[in-house]
Amino acid sequence: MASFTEGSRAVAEGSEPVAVTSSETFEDFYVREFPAVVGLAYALSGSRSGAEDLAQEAFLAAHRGWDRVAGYDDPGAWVRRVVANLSVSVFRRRVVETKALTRIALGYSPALPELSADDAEFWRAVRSLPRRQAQAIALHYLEDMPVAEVARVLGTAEGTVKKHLHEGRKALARRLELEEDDA
Amino acid sequence: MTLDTRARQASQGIHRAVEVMEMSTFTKEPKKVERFDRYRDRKQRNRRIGAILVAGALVVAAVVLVSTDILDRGEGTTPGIPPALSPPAGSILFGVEQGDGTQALFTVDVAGGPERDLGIATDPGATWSPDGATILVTSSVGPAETRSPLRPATIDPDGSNFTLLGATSDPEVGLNCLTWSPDGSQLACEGFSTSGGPELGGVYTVRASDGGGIQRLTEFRAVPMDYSPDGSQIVLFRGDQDPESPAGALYVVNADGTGLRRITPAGFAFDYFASWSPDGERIAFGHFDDANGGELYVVAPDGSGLTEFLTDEMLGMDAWLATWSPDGAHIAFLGWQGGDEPDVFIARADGTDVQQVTDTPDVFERNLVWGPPRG
Repeated sequence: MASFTEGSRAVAEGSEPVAVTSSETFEDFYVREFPAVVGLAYALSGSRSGAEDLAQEAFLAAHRGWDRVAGYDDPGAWVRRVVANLSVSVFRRRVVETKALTRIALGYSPALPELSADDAEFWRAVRSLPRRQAQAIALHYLEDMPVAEVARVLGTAEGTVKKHLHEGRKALARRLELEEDDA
Repeated sequence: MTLDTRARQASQGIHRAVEVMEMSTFTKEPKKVERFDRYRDRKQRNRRIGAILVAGALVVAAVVLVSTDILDRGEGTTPGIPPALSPPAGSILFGVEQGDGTQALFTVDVAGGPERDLGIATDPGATWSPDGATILVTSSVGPAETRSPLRPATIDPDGSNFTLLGATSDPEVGLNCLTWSPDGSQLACEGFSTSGGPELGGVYTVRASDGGGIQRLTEFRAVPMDYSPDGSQIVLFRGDQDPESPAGALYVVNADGTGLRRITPAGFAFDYFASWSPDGERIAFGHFDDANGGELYVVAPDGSGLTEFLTDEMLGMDAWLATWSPDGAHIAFLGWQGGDEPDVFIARADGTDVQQVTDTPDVFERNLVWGPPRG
């Protein structure tokens, strides 16, 4: 199990690094992190209707254990790992989508818009990768995370992440008929 | 274009989508955290309701059991469960999604032992023949020239000996065959138009010997899940209109296409699966609701007696994808205890003696089918 106490990092697109301290309230943490977490859920689940619920599930888990989670230097990494695992679990996704679709049947509509055809195709290809490769690719590109950060979020060694990124990028380039850049 | 460029564009697409979501929800709820509070309150309310429902169900079940015990006193049996249990035997066939719509096939002995990779990925729905001698797959696992239109095919239990059952020549109809009649003579199939239109969608049957003799049973597309033990009826799963939804309704139709009837409410069955008990009395299937998660339900073939069967309370886990053992004394299911991916479990048909069959935290097993012991 990885530690989440090895430093802080920027968590939202375009934000400056934020040092999370144990005095931060859950509400502040939620407001700051939610956009990035729901984006990760959307990319990895592909579900407009379910992504927000997946993100809420992850924050609910953080809320339940906030006394402990708030003590980590990087609760943002913790909540990302939770949502990344929830999002790539087909089983869990089906459950969440069913709930969300029930609500849609009752008149709610997903707040997330559809992606363009090109973007949707790219993330579909990512989701077809083995789950750890998909998670590494999503974290790396969505949040511009270096290998060390991805390793911390996924709770694995940097070398393993490098391997996942290498193999994932190779498979994606082949599947999408793109040139692979130098990593 | 390079992969990095494409990836960064696609990432921007996600960020833009989240911004749109944020804008639309911000106008409705200026304090974003209220959205979380509402989600949490809904979960807590559902848990309370679930607890009340479970308590009520347990009271009803207790009353029924006591009544049954009084009626049956002296006979020493529980309805639907054979009085003398033999150890579970046979092999469970299951698929593992490959990300491209196909499932890699594995088998595992219920008595224990490692999973066996058959080295084949086929369309979802592979199943044992009634005698356990072959496995029904689709033509997509064969040579390129057999892949379209989709036709039934068989392989041996070790993945070898691909045999195409291609006697239906109409290229406009694709056939994904998913279940055998108990005498092994017929296959029931989900049929569809190979040109993509809805007009040919339906349940069909073909001869198991060569795939010919096609007959259409329904005018709507549905997934035939299991024959009744006497071969006279077929249970179907018809999905909701939304293609993303794993929910749907169960129907029963006579094997000649007459007598079609819906036996569960729309949206009540979950995840394209149903299994007919060997005594013919009950059809087991998965149901999901927000309060109780995944549970196994049973319903009689005429639609009566819809009731909880193996609950989260009984099993200590969410359960889906039920498949009866050939003797009806046990049931296998996909169980999920939270955290990693689910695994295959078996239990006595009364929910006791739960045993874990697979222990694969990274693998999500699908389409469980319990086959007879070999040989």
